[in-house]
Amino acid sequence: MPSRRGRFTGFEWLNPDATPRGLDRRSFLRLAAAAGASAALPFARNEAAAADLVDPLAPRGPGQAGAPMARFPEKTDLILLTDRPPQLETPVKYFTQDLTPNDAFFVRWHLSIIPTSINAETFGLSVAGHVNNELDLSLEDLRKQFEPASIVAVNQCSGNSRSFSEPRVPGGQWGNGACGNARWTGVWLKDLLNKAGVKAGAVDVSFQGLDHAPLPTVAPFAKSVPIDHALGGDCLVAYEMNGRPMPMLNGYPLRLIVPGWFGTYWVKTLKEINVLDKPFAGFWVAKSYRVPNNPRMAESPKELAKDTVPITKMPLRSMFALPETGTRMEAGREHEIAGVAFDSGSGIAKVEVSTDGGKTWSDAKIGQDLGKYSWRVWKHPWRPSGSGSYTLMARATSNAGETQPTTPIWNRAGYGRNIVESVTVTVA
Amino acid sequence: MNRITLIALGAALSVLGASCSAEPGQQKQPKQSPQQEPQPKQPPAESAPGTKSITLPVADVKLPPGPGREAVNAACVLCHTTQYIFMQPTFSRETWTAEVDKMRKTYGAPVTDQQAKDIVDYLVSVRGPKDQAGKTK
Repeated sequence: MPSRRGRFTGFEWLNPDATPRGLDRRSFLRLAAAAGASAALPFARNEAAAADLVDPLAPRGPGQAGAPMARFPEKTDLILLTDRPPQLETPVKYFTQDLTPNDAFFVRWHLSIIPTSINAETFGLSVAGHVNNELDLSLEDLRKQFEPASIVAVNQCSGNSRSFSEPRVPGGQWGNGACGNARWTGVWLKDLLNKAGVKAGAVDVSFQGLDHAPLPTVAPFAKSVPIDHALGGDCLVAYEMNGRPMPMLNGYPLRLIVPGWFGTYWVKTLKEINVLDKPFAGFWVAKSYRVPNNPRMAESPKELAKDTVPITKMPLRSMFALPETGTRMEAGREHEIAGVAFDSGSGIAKVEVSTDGGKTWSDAKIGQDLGKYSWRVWKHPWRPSGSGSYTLMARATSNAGETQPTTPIWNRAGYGRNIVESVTVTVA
Repeated sequence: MNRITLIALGAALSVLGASCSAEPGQQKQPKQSPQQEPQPKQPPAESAPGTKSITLPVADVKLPPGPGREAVNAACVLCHTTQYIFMQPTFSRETWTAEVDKMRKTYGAPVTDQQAKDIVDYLVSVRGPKDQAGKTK
């Protein structure tokens, strides 16, 4: 149960002016009770008895258990991590779908000054630096001068699932929902670079958007990839997400897609592409988003790695959509166990499910193959044999022959979780 | 799991002029299922739509009482919400001190030594082991 430190303070939304201000707990409870099950209450939807209020300031369990939800512009109800800058997590129930709806797609910004107003007619993308011809392209130029291309790819935050780290680490305390799959449409990055003409001696390509910090001491958000990856890594400059311009909170009007690599590279509101003739020295690659230089990105709290590299590829992973841990399930009927699986680009060969804590395994049915960078939805019908507690597990095998590890690693940033996951349910 | 949903008011898509600043949006309480797009119409993808704007909801976080609360409200909110604090689990004074040091040294937060001590005290009081609450190093 959430703990309370005296009077409920919590927080309220300040805008618009119609929002009641200074609402104390008693008034909140009275209003919530009056609203009953109605969704019409302007500032809160009471889905349960007033006694089950969530205190946004109370400690949460791992996986964001007890976190409040919020509905941001162009978004449905998502789990609220922070409002400034916005960080919103997708409830894992959406992981039964091939494509994550745009309004349910997770949101993660680093710096609090983010674009909230874009003029699509004057927006320009520049390609400059170690190139033969600098380009300055409007959105219309991108649509008309280049062959449109589409790719379905998973975007996962490097710190997805950080709240499951043991021991815990500071940072965005995501459950498993900082992850989504979408069809991205736009222009191949290599087509842009080839039009500009990359000069010999190019080393890195950097990408910058519009998000920056209130302090000049914080570097604006910018990432880079090596030139080989920019040209050969299936990177896309996307102007559409699932067939429509993406939500502002997911990078409207343009974002970079780096399939198979963690979301930190997927720069939003992309404005500048710079080809560099020396390694990119920007903070967000040179100092941040670094991992121990070993295959599992592992270190220990008492022995932090001295040799670090930028995080890149997403390890093979499977996650549950349903059921969620702690669910009570009805005995005597069939239930569906479901989730998703993906890796950094070889694709999923199989997903196996266990309903007896890992003693026996059987193949789940894996869904539509939308491409090697897409996730595969997996489903497994289950008729529990009797009442009691069950530990359900899922493990994926990739086309490259890898399987998921069963023991987690740890690193100081809480990156890269990918173990075989378990869900415990009660059948009664 | 029961949740209270705080609907972010003032969220709207509006076509304004070629303005660079976000204007306050219309209050919207759309009835929608999780699968549906919000009510405001979007121009079709193929046209050049002019200006698209959103209004971000802003939370007024009322920090629970604790030693150093004023320092947190003065220093930390310059850059980001204090909600960062409340999604963290319990951490030791050592870990909280390292986090505040990171804000100062890595990100250049303009925080005096005394403010830093006060901020760490507050963090420990709300997200620290109970026996370390209130101790100043």
